[in-house]
Amino acid sequence: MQNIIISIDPGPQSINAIGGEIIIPQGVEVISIASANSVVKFWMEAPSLEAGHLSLAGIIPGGYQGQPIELISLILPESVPVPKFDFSKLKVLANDGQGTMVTAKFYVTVTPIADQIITDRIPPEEFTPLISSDPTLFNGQKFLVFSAQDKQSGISHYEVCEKKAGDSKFASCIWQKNESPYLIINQKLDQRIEVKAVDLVGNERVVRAFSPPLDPLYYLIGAIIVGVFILWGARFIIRKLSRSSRSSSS
Amino acid sequence: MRSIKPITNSNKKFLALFYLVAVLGIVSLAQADEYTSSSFRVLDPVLAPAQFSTSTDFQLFGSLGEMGLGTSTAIGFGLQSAWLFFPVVATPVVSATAGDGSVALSWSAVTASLGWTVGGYNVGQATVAGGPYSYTSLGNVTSTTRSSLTNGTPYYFVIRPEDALSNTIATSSEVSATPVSSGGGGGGGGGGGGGETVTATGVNLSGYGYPLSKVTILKDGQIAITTIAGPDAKFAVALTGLSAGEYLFAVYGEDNQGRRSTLFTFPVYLTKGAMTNISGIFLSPTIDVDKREVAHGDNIAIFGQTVGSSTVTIAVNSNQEIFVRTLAGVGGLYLYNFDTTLIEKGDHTTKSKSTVLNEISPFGAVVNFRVGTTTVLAEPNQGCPLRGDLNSDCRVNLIDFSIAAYWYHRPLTADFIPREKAILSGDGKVDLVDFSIMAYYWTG
Repeated sequence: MQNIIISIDPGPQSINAIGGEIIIPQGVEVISIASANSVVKFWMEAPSLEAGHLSLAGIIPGGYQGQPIELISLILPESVPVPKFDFSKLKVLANDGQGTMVTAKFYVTVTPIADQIITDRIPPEEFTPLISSDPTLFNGQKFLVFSAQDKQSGISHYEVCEKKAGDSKFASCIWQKNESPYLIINQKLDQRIEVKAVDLVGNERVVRAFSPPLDPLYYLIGAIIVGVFILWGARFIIRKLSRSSRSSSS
Repeated sequence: MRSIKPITNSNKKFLALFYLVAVLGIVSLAQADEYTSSSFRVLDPVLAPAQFSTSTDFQLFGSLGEMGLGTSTAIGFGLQSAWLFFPVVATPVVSATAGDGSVALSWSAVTASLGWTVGGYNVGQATVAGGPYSYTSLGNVTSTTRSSLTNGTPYYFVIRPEDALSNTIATSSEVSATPVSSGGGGGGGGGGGGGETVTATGVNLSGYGYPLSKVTILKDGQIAITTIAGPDAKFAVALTGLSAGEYLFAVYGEDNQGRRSTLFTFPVYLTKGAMTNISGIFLSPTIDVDKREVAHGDNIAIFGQTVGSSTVTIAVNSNQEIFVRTLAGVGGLYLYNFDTTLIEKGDHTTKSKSTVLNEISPFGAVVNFRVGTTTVLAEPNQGCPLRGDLNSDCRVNLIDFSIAAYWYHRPLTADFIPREKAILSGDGKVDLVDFSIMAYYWTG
């Protein structure tokens, strides 16, 4: 197999959005597409291939200006000559607050297939899901958004676990494959929610998206226990001090 | 007791004549003769030209535009006058990653303007903090690996961009790294099960924000850490527990009025098992104006915050760009009352950058104002992004992205159309342009 890296050269300007299609010549077999090290950090359309058209759309928060940098990489069979890609249907927009269309150059390089993809044992990176609501989404109900990065093989999918009200806190999670934004089933938010990011070789990272506040009774019990320890400790010290003063006076 | 003799009238006349002759003499010595050349350059300013310089192929860098009444002609050269206000390039941000007997350096590409073009870079290397450095020319690249270094010895590096004539036009702040021997002995790996634990892979970031202000660091578009800059506006943070790979870091600050700087973004490749040091981050000044529209001839106040006691260069666009300078106070606040008689009526923009010692920030956000016949005061800046904030939480982040992503290539409903009009491009649909606007105002 061979790794084809498609890089974008923004030239003298800063760019922050890329979208459209890369046309791949007919008959070229693409084994897989990877965006683990792409300069694009959020995809409206994750790179996908259909009938020779590789569609993608994404943004670079804050923009990028500098040397050519990786956009996506493709895995092709070893013996296939490097295809002549058509980038004319790709739009590149400037990081100017207006979305001005600009021209950029694209480069294709061939690299040895990375062993790291095959032997990847590193889970996706830590990430922070966010809860929000919007009148135009899910009829104003609360939803969860999340996005993780995996620098070795890339993110495969996400799973969400919601413990319904009434479940024992020791009950195991039932994971379900889901996408962001995710409509929260338990809108009362009285049980915890966890999100799992899974990379392309199966490594997992689980983060807690939400924990309900503790029952005030637990705070009271905790305060009582701490108070008891403080009193016991004070009594112990006072006794020790009074014994020492008695022995020194006698 | 000594008595003081009064100056007589004849003495006064003699002194006046003496000073007149002295001034004329200096002026005459400073006059430049007419000179021509097929290929040369003049770098010193000419004080009293009234002359002209011609050449088939040269560049004249002087202050003729400020004081001269002469003319300059050439078949092919560039005349860059007003050298006293000549904008220079921003200093590059440098990252250093230690390896086995080597240090990998990379830096942000430097952009230049108004006649300067970056022709290449030099790397300076020293074994003592602050130098002296020995320099190596690299050409027009933004990375290099310094090898044949001694493990365990700290090395100090600076990067100098050069113009097309190999003149140094800026110097980065110093970055250091200590090469270490790669892990030895035995078979690595082995053992079954579980995941591999990545340790000691991370990044140290340092630079200038605003005095005692919040600095936010984004990693791949999401908030990684926040810190508070010191009274000297310097900040330093470390992020550990990362994986090896390509990251896009972005940094921004918030001034004492809640105004945010533009995002300072740079890509970094992290090596497994190594801490990469990134220094020279210099956030652009914040900026605002006191009037959205100003009557022609009145002043408009341009103000903001930056590093304390730094020199602030303010650019006001007109038919010709006008540059003025002012000094920031100890707390980093600056203010300049710009006389609008210098510019024509119509729409204008202004931006600013900051210089402290040898470090120069890029220009920051652009603020609009209009010169007309009336004065309209500007509303106080609330510190919220102007656009992109779809859920009005004063942030532009993954939540806004997700809301917009839902409407991507979908017909908009009646209740969403007003928001798209006010907060995004206003063209009645959510497409790549709207996401580009969001990416520009991103806060994480």
